[in-house]
Amino acid sequence: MIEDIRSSLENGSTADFDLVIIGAGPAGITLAREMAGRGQKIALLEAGGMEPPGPQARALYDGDVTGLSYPLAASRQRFFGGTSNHWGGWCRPLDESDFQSRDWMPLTGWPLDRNALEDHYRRAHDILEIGSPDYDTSRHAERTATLPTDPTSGFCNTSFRFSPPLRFRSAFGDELDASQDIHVLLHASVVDIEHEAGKVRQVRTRTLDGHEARIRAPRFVLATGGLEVPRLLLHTARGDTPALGNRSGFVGRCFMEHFGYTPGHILTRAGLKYHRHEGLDGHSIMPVLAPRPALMREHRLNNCCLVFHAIEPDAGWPPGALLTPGLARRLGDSAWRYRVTMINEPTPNPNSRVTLSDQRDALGMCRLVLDWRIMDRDLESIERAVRQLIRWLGQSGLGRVQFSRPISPETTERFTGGMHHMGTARMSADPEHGVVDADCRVHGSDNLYVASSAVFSAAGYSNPTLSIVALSLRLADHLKGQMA
Amino acid sequence: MKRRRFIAMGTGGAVLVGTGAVGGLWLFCPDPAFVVNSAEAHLDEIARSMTGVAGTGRAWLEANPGSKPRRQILDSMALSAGDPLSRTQLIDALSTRVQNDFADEHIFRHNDWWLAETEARLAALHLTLLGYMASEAGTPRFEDAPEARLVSLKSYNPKSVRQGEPMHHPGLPEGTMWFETAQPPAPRLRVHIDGISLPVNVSHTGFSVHLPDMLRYRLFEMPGSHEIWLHDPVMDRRQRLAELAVVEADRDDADADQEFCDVAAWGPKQTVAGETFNEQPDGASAFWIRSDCFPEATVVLLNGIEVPTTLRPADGLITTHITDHTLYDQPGRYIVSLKNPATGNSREIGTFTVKPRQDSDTGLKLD
Repeated sequence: MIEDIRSSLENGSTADFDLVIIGAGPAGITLAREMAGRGQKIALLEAGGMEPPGPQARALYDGDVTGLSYPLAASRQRFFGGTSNHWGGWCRPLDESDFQSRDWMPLTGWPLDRNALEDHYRRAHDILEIGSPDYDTSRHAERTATLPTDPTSGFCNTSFRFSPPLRFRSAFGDELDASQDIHVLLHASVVDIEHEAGKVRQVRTRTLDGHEARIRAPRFVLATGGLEVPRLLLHTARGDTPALGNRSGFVGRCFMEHFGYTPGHILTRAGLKYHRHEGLDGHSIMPVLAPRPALMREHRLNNCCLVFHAIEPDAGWPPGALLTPGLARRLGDSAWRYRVTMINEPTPNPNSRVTLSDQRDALGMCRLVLDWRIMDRDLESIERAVRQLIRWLGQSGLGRVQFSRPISPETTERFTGGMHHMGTARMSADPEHGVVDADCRVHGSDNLYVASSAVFSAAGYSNPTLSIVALSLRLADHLKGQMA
Repeated sequence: MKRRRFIAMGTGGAVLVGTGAVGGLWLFCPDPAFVVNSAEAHLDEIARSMTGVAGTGRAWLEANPGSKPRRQILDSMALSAGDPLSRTQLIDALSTRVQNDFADEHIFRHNDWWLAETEARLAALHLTLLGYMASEAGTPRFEDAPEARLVSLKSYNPKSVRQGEPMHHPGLPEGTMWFETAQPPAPRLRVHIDGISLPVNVSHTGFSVHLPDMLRYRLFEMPGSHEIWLHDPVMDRRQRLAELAVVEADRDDADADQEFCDVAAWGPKQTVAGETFNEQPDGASAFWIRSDCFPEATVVLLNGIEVPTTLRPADGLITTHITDHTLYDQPGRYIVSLKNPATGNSREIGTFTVKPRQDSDTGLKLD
C-alpha cells in the first residue's frame, strides 16, 4: 500500500517491519518488489510524495558546489520513482574490464566480476523493458552504419540500448499500492540512523510540518542516490566514533560522473549511423566506438566511448581532398565530416567528494557540499585516446581527425556530466578501501546495506540505471538468503 | 629532371595525362625521351586532380619555404622522377607512405586537421602546379542544393500572420513556428525563410524555429505567401516545406461593424488540445454562432485560419465543420472571428480556449 506517513503513523510513534528500504527510486522499488510475496513486512520510505515536490521540499536538496559546476538539486528527483522520473532510458551493462583492477587507474576493481551480475543484468533488462539485451553491433546494425574495426585497430563497435524510458512511478505505483507486504510511506525523510556497535536499531523520519516517527527492523537498506547515501551515512558519526562504514574515510569520497568531451571532428565514410536508430532487430540501438581492453592497457586509457554526428564539411580538409587516390584507400567513394563526442570514465578520486556543510536544511539535516573533480590523468587519457584514433583512421586509410579542442584549463571548466552520481560508498572487499562489501553490506555493520550507484567501484562509461537495478536484484537474492 | 611544357588542348599528337579539378584540360607534350608511365607524371596528375586543398598547400609552403614538394614526396617513397611506374604502383606507394606517416607520427597540422605529411606535400604540389587555378574548398550553398524529402510534415503553425499583430500562435512563444513531423528530424537542419537561415529546435515529434524580430518585420512588409524551406547542410539537400501567409492589416474596424450584426451567442468556448469539440456525426468539430445578420459568403476564422463554414441566414446561424484537429492541437487561447471575403473585413467574436492534455509529458529529458 502507499500512504502518507502522517496518516499512516501517529506523530511520535514507532513501527516495526522486517526490512526497511530508504528511497523509492529504481533501486528501492526493484528491491521491494523482489522481496515481496514472502510474508515479510517491508517499509519503503520515500522522502517525497507521488508528485514533483514544491519549492520548500526542493530546497532540501540545495547545497554548496566547490569543485566543477554541478546541478546539485536538478539532478535529483525527490518523489516516488526517484530519478526514473527524468531519465532518458539509455542502457548498457558495465564492461568486463570495468570490473577489473587496472594498475594505471588507482582504486579501480570491483570485488566481483561481470559474471556475478550476468543473471541480474538479464532480469534487469526485462524490468526496464529494454527492447533487446544484445549489444552486438555487428548483428543488429547495418554493416555500413559503423566503421570496420578489427583487433589491430585497437577499437571496437558496441552499442547502447534503450528503455522506453520506464517511469517506475507509473509502471509500479498501482502494484505497490495493492501490495500487502510493501508499505510505501510517503514524505518519510530519514533524518537519523540510530545504531549501536555497528547495528542499526531504527531510523527516525521527519516531515516538513514536524511529524516524526521511528521505524525499526532487523535490516535496513539505503536505496537513495549517490549523493543522499553518503549524506545519510555521514550523519551517523557520533563524537569520536566515525560514521557507519567510514573507518577507512571513504564515505563520500570518489564521487564519479560520466563526463562528456568533444575533442573535434573526423572525416570518414559517409552514411555512418552512430546515433540512435532502429536496429535490424527492430529495437532501438545506438552504436558507439570504444577502445578495446588491449588498447586501454597499452596506452593506459580510461574506458570511454565515441559517438559521431554528421555535420557540414569545413574548408580545412574537405571530403573531396581525402578522396584523392592513395590517401585513404578504405574510404570508398564518399566521405563526410562528423563531430566527435566522447563519454568518459573518471578515475576514482578520493579528492572528488561529498561532505557535510555546517548549514542545515528545514529538516535539520546538514546540507551537502559537493567538490566534483576530474583528475589530470583522466584528461591525459582523452588526449591519448584521440591520438590513437588519429593513428588508426590515418593508418588504416579510413579517415582523418580534426583535433580542434585539445585539453586545456579552459575546456575543463566547462565539463558537464550525465547526472550520474557514483562511487560515494564504494564497494571493496577490503574495508580499508571501501564502504560496502561485495554483498553491498556496509563494512562494520551487521544489518545495513546500500542499493545505489554509490557502491560503484569504477564507473565505465555505461549509464548507471541498468547496473543499479541489476545490483538491487543481486542484493535481493542475498537478503532472501539472510531472511529465509 | 626531364624538361616538359604544358600546351593548350587541340595540339595534335599530345598525350592526355590528367585533368585539372578546376575544369581546364591540360595536355602534356613530352620530350621524345620522356616516359609517360613515370612516377613524376602520375604524381603530378594525382596532385592536379585534388579538390579543395589549396589552403592546405598554401599552409605547407608557408611552413616550408623554399621546399620542393614533388621532390620530397618522391624521395620519401625512394623514387626518382623518371622511374617507370604504373599509376596503380604509384598510388600503392603513396598509400604506403601515408600509412607510414601516421605510424611514425609524421604529421602536418592545418586547421586542426592532423594530416599525413605526404598528403600535405601533395596539396602543396597541387598549388604549385595549378597556381591561381588551384582548387579552393567551398561550402555547400542552400541555393545550389538539390531538392529532396528531408522530413514528412504532418502539420505546422502558424500558417498565417496578420500585419501589425504579434506573431503569437497559441501554445508557442512569440515569433515561433512549430512543425510536426512523422519522424524526429535531424538537429542539423536549417530553416530558410526569405534568404535567412535559421537553426531548428528539435523534439521527438517535430521542430520549432524562432523568427528573429528583423525577419518578422521584413515579412510583415510583404503581404502574400512566403516559402519556408528546410536545408540539410550535411547531405546538401533542401525541401520546400510550407508557406507562411502574411495577411494585410484590417481596414478600419468601423467598416466591419457596419457589415456584421452583433453576435448573440456562440460556442463551444473550450476544448482539450487535439480533442474534438461539439462532435458531429462524422467526427468533425463544430462552432455555432448566432447572429441576426452577416454578409453573404461570411467565413469563420480560427486564429486567422479560415475553416469550412455553413451559413443559415434564415435561422441567424453560422456553423463550422472542422476536420483538421491540428488546428487546435496546441494549448492556448485562439481568436474566433467572422470574415467577409468580399471586403476583407473581419470581426472578432471571442476567445476559444484550448487546454493542455493531462498526459502531456513536460518532464526533463536526460541522457
